[in-house]
Amino acid sequence: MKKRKMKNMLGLLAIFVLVMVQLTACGGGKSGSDGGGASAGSQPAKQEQSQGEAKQNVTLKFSIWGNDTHKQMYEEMIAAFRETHPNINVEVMTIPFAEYQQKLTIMQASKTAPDVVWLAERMIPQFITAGHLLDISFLKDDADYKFDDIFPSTLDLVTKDGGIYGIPFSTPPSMLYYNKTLFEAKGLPTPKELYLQGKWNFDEFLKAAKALTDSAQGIYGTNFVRSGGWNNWPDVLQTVFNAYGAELFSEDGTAFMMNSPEGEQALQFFADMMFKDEIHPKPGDQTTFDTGKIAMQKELFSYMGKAKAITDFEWDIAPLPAGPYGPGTTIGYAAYTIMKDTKHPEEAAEFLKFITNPDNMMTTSQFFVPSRKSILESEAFLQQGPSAESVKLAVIDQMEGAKSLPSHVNWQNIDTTMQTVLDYLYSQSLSVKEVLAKAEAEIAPLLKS
Amino acid sequence: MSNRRADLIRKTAAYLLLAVVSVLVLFPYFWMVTTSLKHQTKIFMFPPQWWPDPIVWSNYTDVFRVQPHFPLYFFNSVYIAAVVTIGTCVFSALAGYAFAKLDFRFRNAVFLVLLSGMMIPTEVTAIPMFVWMTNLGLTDTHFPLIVPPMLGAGGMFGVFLMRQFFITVPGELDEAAKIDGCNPWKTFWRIMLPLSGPMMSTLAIFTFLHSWDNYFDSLIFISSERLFTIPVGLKLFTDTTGTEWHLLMAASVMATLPLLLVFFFAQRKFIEGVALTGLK
Amino acid sequence: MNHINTQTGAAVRRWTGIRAGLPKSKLKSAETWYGWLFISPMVAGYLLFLLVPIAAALYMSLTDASLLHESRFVGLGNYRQALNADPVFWTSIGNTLYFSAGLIPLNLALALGLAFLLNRKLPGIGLFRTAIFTPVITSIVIWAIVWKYIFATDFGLVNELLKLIGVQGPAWLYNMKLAMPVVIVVSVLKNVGLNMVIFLAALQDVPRMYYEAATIDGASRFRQMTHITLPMISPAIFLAFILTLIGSLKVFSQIQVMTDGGPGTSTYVLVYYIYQRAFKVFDFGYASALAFILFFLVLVLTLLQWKLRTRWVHHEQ
Repeated sequence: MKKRKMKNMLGLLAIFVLVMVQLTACGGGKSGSDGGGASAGSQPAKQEQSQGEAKQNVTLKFSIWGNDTHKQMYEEMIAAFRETHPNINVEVMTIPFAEYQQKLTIMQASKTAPDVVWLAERMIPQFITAGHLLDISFLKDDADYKFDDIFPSTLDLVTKDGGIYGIPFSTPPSMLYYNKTLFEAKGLPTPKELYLQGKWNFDEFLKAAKALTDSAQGIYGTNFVRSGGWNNWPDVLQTVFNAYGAELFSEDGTAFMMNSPEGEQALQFFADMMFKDEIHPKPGDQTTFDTGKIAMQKELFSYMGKAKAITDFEWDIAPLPAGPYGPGTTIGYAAYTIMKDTKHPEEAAEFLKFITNPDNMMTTSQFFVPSRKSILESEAFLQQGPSAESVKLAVIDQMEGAKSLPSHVNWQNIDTTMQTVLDYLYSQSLSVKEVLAKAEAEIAPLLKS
Repeated sequence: MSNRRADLIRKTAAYLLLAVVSVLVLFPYFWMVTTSLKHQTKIFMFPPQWWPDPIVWSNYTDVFRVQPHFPLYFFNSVYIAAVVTIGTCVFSALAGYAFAKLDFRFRNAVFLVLLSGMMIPTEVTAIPMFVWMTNLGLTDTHFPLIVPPMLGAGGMFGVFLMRQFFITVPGELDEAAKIDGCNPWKTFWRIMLPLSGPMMSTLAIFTFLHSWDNYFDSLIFISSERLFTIPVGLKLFTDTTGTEWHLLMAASVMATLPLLLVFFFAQRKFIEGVALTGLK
Repeated sequence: MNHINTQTGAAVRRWTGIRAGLPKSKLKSAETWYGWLFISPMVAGYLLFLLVPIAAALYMSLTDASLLHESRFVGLGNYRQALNADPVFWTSIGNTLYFSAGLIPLNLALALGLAFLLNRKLPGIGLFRTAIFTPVITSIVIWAIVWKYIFATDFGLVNELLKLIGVQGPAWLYNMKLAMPVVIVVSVLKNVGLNMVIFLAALQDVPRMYYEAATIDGASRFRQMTHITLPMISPAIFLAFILTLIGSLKVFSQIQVMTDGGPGTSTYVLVYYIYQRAFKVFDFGYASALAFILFFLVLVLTLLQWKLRTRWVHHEQ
């Protein structure tokens, strides 16, 4: 009796194990999707679409680094997409920005990459040079798509040898979100007011930040670190570099230029904010604007979703304060691209076309500053922020002078090295001068390779 | 008398020391639970809030809103650990019995060779395994998390343990079974396997915990959220939620609680099992 | 088992009869066949998942294999570079040794001390044993995450407690000198329960009569401990030492979760560096060479352990 029970159990278990191994070995386990799975020979040829032929059910994988508000927006868009393309299902996968490039590279190499992919400016050179992106210049042929509506300058990064490898969808200038309630409580003029008076510079900025910092309450005057985290140093520091006229790389990307007096001033400014004036959270701190503990947060338009959900205090947006060389506003950049190894290039292209058509780009413009002229210059876009005036001042007017963020074909290596070097600054182990010297010593060789 | 007093002091000191270490070790759990029930604005407060007020039960449901795949992480961890444990136990017992009781040429040499495999760290085989799995199209599946641990270094350890055990089983049992006409399979199945209960449960516990705790393998092989195990899933959580520690702690509580409960009910078995290996 | 005994007599006669008729080789070959069958899964596993990969890793370590470009054979170039021209490699070795040197004494001493304390028949003593063992069954990632939160610079519990007594706590995990000690302490607390239980079992295995005899002879408690207890539990101590040592050389998860190798490279350990080179920068060839160096270290230590076992371990039953 005992033995038979055991025998049955073990028999069942053995079957269970076998079944499990089968399931897992047949690629995909739980996901069971068609798209982006194991490679199996050559790409399918152009699908013949004869009348009456049933279209295959296809699942595309679409990767983003956004937050849950972005994902929700896309899912609504996908539902609309399914109405005209019932055979195409799209799965949104979120990968944290800090690991995005690394994860994508591995997935591409192991042939498990998504089909449609967000790429930031710093990631594009690696993938374009390695030939991993699909040429989508055929989108120009569709008159309804209105390809010429897209700002030509935004296409530079994704153009190579006459081919177009991505469609930019987000080109936000960096700006400040400020806690109006905190300002009013202390009777201080807001950044927007100071900007309109032409007085919005680093001095006024520091004055306001110091006045608003309240360590007893855990309130900081300002925060330059956003959702990407402390390791995303370009987002944190590049505007400061620009404001002091410090350059990271030379034009051709072969020399490290940061070890200069301007570079020193810029880095010292940031270090002082944290350690001398203590108006900025310390390294590793993850306080966010929506907790009400940050008076002025440097962020992008994409934060709008989270901001609009704030109910505890009033807020508004304003341009960055001006340093010796100007506000140093940087312009972010993200494009949709299609991985060349996708098993469903047709469907992927259909989806890409859909989410970047004029209507849908209007929808995404609630978070992403659009690359389409018609939408950027529309009244509707101005309404996507707290007020038309604010959007005009903080977003539209700043785009002209904004500089794009650095990128390099060897970005992964440079990025990791810089993070390690900056830690010496963040842990106060080396002075600003020494940190820059160390950065030069370690990064210069990487630029040459 | 003074002897009694000295004894009392010793006893109190013992209790005190043990209490200090226990508090140090248990406090994180307390902190985890209380933070998981706090309101987001009350997490970073000075002086720290020792008891959540208000108690926010919705943090637990919010976890699923922010990470809809969370229950999958848990399920994946459990079933993978279960399969690896069962597989390792079965195959280790088979091989352990063979090495201990059956006679065949090169038996001892083969055993030593397999034993040497225990020394190979998975970190060394990880890179070639990754390349190989990629070529087979098995990255981003659970295969590399199940079969290699079962039949690799973990398996070798199991073989070692089971052989140790079977050696201690008296030879007469074998002889008697043979006389009864049992072939080695029947002997194993009907007699040896049931006997090996205690050692098996020790091996099972070790293997289960090892698989449950596995972070490195999941990190490098799995990219789809749906296939994540708890360690990787939680790490993803830390990267995406920023300051939402209340949610992260709620997720951690949910991930830790089941095993903790099992442990509390079966602690004797756990601890004795572990001690058993130490003595061998 | 009863049924075997009572029927043995008749069975033996039957068996001798059968046996007389069977050639010896047939019996032997049956056992051989079964033997190989039973060990075949493990042998296959060894070949496929241990031998082949390690050989492949060796080969890869002799090339500059990478995910991003074609690979070339470079012979011992990777090893030369690691040993001669890679300061980060030596940093990671140094950090690994620092971690081990910090972890092992703390862990073993604490485990031993706790085992002694627990080795008494006091009421409720079992509760402490369970409590201290609890982290052993918790996932290391969860453990590390919670402690990361406790050691956060602003509003982490440790600094808040310090603030209560008017002390400004340092940035624990952002301080190059403090980060590793914090990781060591967190690691000790996680695993001390395991060694403690092993020691406790060993302590309880020491026959009472030795102590009784010694007490009669007038030996002090301390002498009893050094001359009876420690030698008799030396196998367990040695086992714990080796297991903890090898485990500490492979530390990874808590580093990745708590500090990501930082700040700077102050918590870069060997396995972390291997992971970084392989899966962040994709230098598979170089990373394989590093992994092989790790393997070599582990191998040497394990073999050393086998040799020293006979020398140092006092009492082997």
